[in-house]
Amino acid sequence: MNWNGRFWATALAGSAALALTVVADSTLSVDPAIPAYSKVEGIKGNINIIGSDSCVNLDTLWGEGFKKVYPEVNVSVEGKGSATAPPALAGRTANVGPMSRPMKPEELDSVSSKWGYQPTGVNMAIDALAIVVHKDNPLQNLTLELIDAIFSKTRKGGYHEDITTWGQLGLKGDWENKPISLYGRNSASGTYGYFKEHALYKGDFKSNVKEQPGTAAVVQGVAEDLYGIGYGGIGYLTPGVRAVPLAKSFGGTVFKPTYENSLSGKYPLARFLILYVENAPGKGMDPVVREFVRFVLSKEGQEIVVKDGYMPLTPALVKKELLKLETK
Amino acid sequence: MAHQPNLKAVVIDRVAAKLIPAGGILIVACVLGILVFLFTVAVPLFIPARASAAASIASDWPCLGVDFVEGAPAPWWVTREGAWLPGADEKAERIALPGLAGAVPAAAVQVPTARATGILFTDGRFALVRVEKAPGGAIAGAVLDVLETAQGAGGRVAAARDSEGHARLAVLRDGKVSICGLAGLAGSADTAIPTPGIAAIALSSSGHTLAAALENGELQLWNVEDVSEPGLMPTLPAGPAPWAAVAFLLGDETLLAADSRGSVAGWMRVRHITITNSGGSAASVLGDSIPAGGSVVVPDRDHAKHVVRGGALTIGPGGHRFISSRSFPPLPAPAACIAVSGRNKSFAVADVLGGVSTYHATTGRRTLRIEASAPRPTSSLAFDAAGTGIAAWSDRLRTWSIRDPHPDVSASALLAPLWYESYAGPEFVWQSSSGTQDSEPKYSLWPLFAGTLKGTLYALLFSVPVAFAAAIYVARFAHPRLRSWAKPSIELMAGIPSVVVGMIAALWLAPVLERSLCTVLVGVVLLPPVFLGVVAGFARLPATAGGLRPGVELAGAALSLAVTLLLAFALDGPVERMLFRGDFRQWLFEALHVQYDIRNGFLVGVALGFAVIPVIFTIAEDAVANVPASMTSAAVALGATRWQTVRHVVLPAAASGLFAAVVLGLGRAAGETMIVVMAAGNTPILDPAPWNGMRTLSAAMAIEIPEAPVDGSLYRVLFLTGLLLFAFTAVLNTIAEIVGTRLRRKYGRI
Repeated sequence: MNWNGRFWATALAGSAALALTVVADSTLSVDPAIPAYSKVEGIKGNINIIGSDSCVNLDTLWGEGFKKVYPEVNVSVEGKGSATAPPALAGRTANVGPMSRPMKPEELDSVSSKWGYQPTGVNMAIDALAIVVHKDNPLQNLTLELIDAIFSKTRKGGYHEDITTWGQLGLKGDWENKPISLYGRNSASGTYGYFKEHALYKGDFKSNVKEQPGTAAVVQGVAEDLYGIGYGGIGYLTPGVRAVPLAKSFGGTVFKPTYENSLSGKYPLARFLILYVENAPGKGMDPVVREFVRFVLSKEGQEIVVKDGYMPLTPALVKKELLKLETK
Repeated sequence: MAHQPNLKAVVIDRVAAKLIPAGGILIVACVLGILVFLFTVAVPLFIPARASAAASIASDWPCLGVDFVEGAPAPWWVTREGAWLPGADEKAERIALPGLAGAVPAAAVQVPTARATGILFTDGRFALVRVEKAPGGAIAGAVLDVLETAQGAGGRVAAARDSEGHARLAVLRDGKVSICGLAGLAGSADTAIPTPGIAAIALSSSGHTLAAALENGELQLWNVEDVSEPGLMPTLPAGPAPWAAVAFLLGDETLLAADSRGSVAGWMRVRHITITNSGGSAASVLGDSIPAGGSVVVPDRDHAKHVVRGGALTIGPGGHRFISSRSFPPLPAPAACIAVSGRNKSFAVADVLGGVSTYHATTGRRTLRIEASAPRPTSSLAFDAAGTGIAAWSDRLRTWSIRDPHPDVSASALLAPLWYESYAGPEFVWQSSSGTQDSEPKYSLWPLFAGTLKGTLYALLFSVPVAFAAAIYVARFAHPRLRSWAKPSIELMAGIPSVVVGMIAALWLAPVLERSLCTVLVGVVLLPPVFLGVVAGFARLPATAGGLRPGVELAGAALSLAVTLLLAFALDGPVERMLFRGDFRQWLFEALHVQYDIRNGFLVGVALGFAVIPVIFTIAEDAVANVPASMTSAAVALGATRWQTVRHVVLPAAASGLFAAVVLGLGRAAGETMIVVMAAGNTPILDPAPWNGMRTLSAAMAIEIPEAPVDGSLYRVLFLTGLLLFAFTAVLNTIAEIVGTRLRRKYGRI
């Protein structure tokens, strides 16, 4: 009885903490000006989603929501990394390719050489890439130059020394001489590429960054390693870790990874998550894919974005993205 | 009664006689097939580039600039009369430029990163023009941006498109340069660079840096981020001959220059540091000397590691500077112009005799040499957007289509240290991908070779002693009853899927090891003395109490292990406090500068060793057990103890089998994938230490194949690593076979 009571109390406390942290922005909600999804008759077929690992939960939830509207549609989801999306689209093993970074010109060419035209990229959600440390880490804030000096061996940000201990970031006491333990994503992920481009100034990672196969693994690694630091999409944060507020450079203002700061571009590591689809000139999109993307851009789809811990588009952005679905 | 041949047996016999060789041949064919497949995928990496002439357009007009149509393999060019496309019947067809009808071009230059050509008109307008083939098939010109300047007279130009999409222009006329672009709200600015005698210019793709090659051989760099206020950056040392052409390589990290003697060189932007010496005497760090009370700015080659904190020397930021870092095979004639690829680190240099050489900056090699049809100087040179075509105008407009799918891979890129962009010197690096195309993929195989050797070595260090000891004990010492279940149960270990071993190692053993590092260390130190103590104790036991009765030694080993464990747990706390200031990991970091990684060589050694033990044990046990009884009986009859028998008779006779066991274990460990993927941290480092991780060849293949674009460089390099692993194992097995046969022959006579 007693044991039972304690168990439930613990479980409740745990889930409350979880709810608080996952929805980092408790006020975050979808703008009511984004219209609800309107069902279209005669939609059936397959949605095969292959691409980003950061988006895999999101894809699955969208798939479930879409299947509720169209029970005859089959949805399959595979998320091994953004780099897997272009080959899958080119080979037509996928008709939706989610990526957490824009395609490189080389990748666009690899798809358009098979199709005869370029894929269409639809922004579908906003993600703030968070720098995560253990929840008990007293670190207050960081700048991109410092992140570069922590993670990169090329230090193109220009910081003059390699940062290997927490003391170099200003932590005192026990932390001062503790080595920093680095966690990162595997190179197939768009997060890896985005981080390399924006936080490492297109430089190279240190060789001793432990490459994890998913953002969840990065977050788990940092949660278990008191002296760890890692990076990952805001949607994956857990109570064991904390996102560090960032400034673009020394002397700049420090911003938390919130919705407002991401929309305004003040938080330096905010990005769009992108769905790549086929919109053949003159022929238009496959109806089932078009409806899937419309669903993603609807009120329901954007509510799923919020539910999964990412940030929704604004009505103006949704309007702009919907234009991309029209036949060219 | 005569024996009747059984018809059924005869049929089965004949079928079997055909089937069994067929099976064998099939296996050999499969192995060869895999080899051939790996080979055919890997070999295109080393096929030299080829160029085939595509178009040759006769002309009597002076060409101001050439470029390629976006989305079609056709060139277009600019003359004083306008912009042109090749049309029907060898006649040129005019391209309409919206808003620029009637304007007369004065100069033009390709801007590869903007996928456009910048055209300066005599009325002072400067336009970025992109000529595109629409999906429907019509080719049309689009004007991306127009800048008003006061530079109507033309000259040699360099152009860029800044991050906001605005045009930037630098004009070189009579040795003087003007830089034009938008400057704040005031509109366009037109500023003269205060240096005379400039021979060639280039703008970085951001438009923020202007490179000026002077007639005296000097190279000047100007910060022109603010067009109205150019600032001179540190000047580069003069070259042996006047520079004829300069250009920024894709990514703006490398400056290329070619001179009037035909040599081609590169400077890279390298991070510098300022070392200040506040002490009373001159000091020296990594060969850079710093006078007393002075300071120097030097390329940052890990100086910080050699500077004592709190000493007289302090290190501060030193900014970025270009330093001479690459030289390329020279041209046969003075250089005329340079074109850079907008796709990768390739560039082309044309000479005054009309020949064109292409180079790849990362590998430093010449990828292609196109000879001229007639010795006329080339005045315009351009790459197409995909990097698969080159156009050059000398006596006529000629284009070539280039087939060079893997310019970034060569034997030296795979095996030699290369000086990559933003590095302070040549290094072995494996970092194969990035999110942008202007970074260099790094395919040095040494970190992967080193990782494979490291994992294998630690696995063998752990498994060979354990497996050999177990094999000798089970075959020669153990009670037959123990033997009957010990051998199968050790062999059963081989049936545990390696992913399970890897998972246990990564998720359970790694944190345990991290927490009890000191305990493990104490245990390892204590085990030998404890073991000797237990042996001595057993020896003193009276024979009637059992003593060292054959077959029960296992109890002694178990007792030693138990005592060691107990002692280790009891002593680790005090030892850590007394010797290692209470925290062994921290002591390692502070005293030895060793960063203990949770996924490390020791962990992999244990996990991989666990997987290899059954392989080594089985073969070693067979070898030891199969030593002829006649030999051991003879030894025993001569009064040898069991250990003497094993040491002097059994081990020499079984040596070939033991050797084969080690080699097969080696092969298994080198090829093992799942355990290293999960437990090694996958850090591609060149460090044999047991406290940090590694990335093996097999792990690199498993991790990176899903992201590798099919038939791309990374894809083929990964197949090449597969081929090398295959060859490595084949060579090992062959060595094992040869040595094994020799040893067998030697001891076979006994």
